[in-house]
Amino acid sequence: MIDTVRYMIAAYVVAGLVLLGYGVRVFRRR
Amino acid sequence: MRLDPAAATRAIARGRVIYLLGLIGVAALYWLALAGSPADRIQGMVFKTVYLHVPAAVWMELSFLITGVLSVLVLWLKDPRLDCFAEASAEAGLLFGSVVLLTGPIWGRVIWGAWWVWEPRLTFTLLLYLLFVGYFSLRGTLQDPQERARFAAVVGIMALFLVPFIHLAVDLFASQHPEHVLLRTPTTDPNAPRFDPAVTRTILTGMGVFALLYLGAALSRYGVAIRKAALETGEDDD
Repeated sequence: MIDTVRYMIAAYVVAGLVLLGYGVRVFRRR
Repeated sequence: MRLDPAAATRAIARGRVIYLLGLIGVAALYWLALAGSPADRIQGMVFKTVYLHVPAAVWMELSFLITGVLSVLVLWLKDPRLDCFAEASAEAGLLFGSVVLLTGPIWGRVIWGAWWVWEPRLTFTLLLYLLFVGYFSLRGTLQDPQERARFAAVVGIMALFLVPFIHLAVDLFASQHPEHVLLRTPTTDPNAPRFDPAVTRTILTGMGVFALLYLGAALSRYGVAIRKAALETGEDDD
């Protein structure tokens, strides 16, 4: 039985990193 | 056509504020999704990826559709500002597409037992994503602004065909991807699934949060594109 909580957390971490990473780009570009 | 560097600076500043509000919204969405919404009876906790995946997918489709519509207008009106916003919207589309293509397989691994299946919606979503990676590669290779706008518009128009196809793929074909459930209600469709109101509320919150992210990302990118276009045409010298 797959531990679905771990996969859910992985999805939230990955999506958060993508959106935060783009946020860094938004604030650093001139 | 007047490209105002001061307006570009304002667009970048406003875009940053809106994107920051969007990120605060993401934090609120995480809280609402993880603490304020129930786990699915069958899918368990991994169902909660839907709160990121669906709003990101809807805004990916809208971003590329806006690029497609603006691409038609670029060819018709030849206004460089339209090309700048088409480019900005395409970049937002790639941002949301990245979220879609990363969260989807994590859900698929649990529910389908496979990270990826070559079924119509997934395949054409990947194709759309790669098309717009190509859109930016093409833009990078062309020096002349008018030629770049024209060539990029021809690629951007493809979104007008691909996005409706991807959206309807789950209804038109034997698709493994879950069907549309959000806009179906028991009054119009007796087979419509009944969600806990918290699920609908969280998905709609996600739509709003991703709308903010879209506005912020596209507006700041639009400002950068206008500034670059003004530099290319020498309009910032006066």
